[in-house]
Amino acid sequence: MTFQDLFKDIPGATDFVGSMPQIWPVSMLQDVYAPFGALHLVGLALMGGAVLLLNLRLLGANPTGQSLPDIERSTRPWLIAGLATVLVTGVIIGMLNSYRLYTSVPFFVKIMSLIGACIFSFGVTNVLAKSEGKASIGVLVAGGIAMLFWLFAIGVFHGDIVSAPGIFHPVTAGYALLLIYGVRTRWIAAGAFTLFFGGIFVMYWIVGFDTFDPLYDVISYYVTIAGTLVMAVLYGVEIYLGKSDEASPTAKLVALFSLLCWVTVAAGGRWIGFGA
Amino acid sequence: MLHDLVVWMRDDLGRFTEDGLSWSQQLAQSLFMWNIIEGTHVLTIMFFAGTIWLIDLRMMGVAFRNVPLSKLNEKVLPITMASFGVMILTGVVSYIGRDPVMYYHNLWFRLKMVFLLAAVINIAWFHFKVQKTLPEWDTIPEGETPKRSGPAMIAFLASCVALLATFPFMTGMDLALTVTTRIVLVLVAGASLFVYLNGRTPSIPTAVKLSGMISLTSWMLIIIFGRFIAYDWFYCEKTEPGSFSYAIQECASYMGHDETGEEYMDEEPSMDETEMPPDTPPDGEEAPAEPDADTTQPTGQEG
Repeated sequence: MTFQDLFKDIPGATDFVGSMPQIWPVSMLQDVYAPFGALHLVGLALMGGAVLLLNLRLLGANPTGQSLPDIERSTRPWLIAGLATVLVTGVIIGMLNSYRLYTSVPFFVKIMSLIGACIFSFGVTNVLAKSEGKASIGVLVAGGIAMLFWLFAIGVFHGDIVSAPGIFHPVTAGYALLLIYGVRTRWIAAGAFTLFFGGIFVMYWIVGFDTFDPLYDVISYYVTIAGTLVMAVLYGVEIYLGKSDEASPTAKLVALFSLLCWVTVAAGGRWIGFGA
Repeated sequence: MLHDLVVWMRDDLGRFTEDGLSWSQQLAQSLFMWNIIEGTHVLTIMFFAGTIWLIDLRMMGVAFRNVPLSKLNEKVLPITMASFGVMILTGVVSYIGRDPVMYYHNLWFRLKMVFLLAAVINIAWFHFKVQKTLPEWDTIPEGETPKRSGPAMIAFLASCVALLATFPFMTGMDLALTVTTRIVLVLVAGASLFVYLNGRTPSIPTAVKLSGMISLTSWMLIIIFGRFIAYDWFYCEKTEPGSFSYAIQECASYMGHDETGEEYMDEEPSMDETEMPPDTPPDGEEAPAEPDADTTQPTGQEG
């Protein structure tokens, strides 16, 4: 699914989007495409640090030794600065490259998960942190809406043959977080990840990277599903049976999905460049 | 010598039979493997740079002012280092897998490596020298009075606005003048910001703030130059022989010419000329996009 599919019934929409780079004042900004593209990554990285520290704290790890409200206050300016950089640069480079993005599946994934991630960061995790991890009904509803956006984005990502391998990134990030945050399951996660994805890599290498045999796509598909399920079980153990109980299991789940949602935003953005 | 090494990496490393492909060539033609590795490289930047910048900002007295630096180093730095390890590993594999000879002769890649070296030297300076007095400035005293440095902030904001203004207003002007103006404005902005920050937290020694600033700037430039590799502004094929960029990128050896312009590398064709299996999969599926050297916008295959 792309934005072109979504707006196909609006007359002239595709023509308008296609002509966007020639419209003033967008046409004046051709020179900023390259530096803004680079700044877009800088903003994403700045935001990444802030999101990671806050959500790790919500998950129960305490990377800065601060209380939940304190770490939320400390990371907020950097989250906002990063997001502002990402949005300003993203809108401008998007308008300069409008048609390609309009017809791109990974871009659609990126925007859907970005909406989910913004709801998570500004309507859920920050509120949870301020209230010491206690979830109100409003927060749960906002979290549910964010989850719907993210799951929809993941579904679209997985359904596109060219972009589907990009799912590897959120799954890998999930395992990496278990290595950082996990208490009971850390080494099981490391073993499972090595077995699943190391296995694919070795198989691919032995057979030859340039193979286009659909068998490997099928195997990779099922390995990704299996890897995700194992990861979900390990998180279940960690969240509901883990020793770290400073925040409620709900808050921990929200923090996990918030992080994975942001990783999906970044993965979607990266795979725009790999799309056909 | 390094040119020969990267040519060997591209053409021979991992090639076990006469007709076989090197690892570089296999990765370059892989359906998804290079994309996954390079995508991981870019995503790891998010965690690596994001966490190291927050530490740098703390060193400069800007972020996490109520957290001792030692506490941040103890808990956040392991995440940063782990991300760094993955980032370097995937970066090296991406480099090998996407025509390392092109990367080696690319101005932006070279600048990226220069600032990577600067960042590593800065880490060594901080670790072995600056950090020795850490207990003296580990915490920022509450109620610390900042020095007045308003003019520095004004200079910083003015140079940022001027820098942004160069993009719409200097388009089409002499490239050298435009680039020089932008570099000068960036340097003025950086220096003004440092003066401002230096006055804001007097309890942190200047050397610590300087180390934080060098780290933050270096990693930012590493990301920016990495992104610029995808642009063909200074590709050897488009660079005038005898020009500065031609010389600094060692384009003579890339193009198969010695310094006098005489051809000498007929036996080593570039990757594009090497006989390879077709890019299009036999079942008619479309392969991922390849870099297009003629575009002015990136194709997404950047490092």
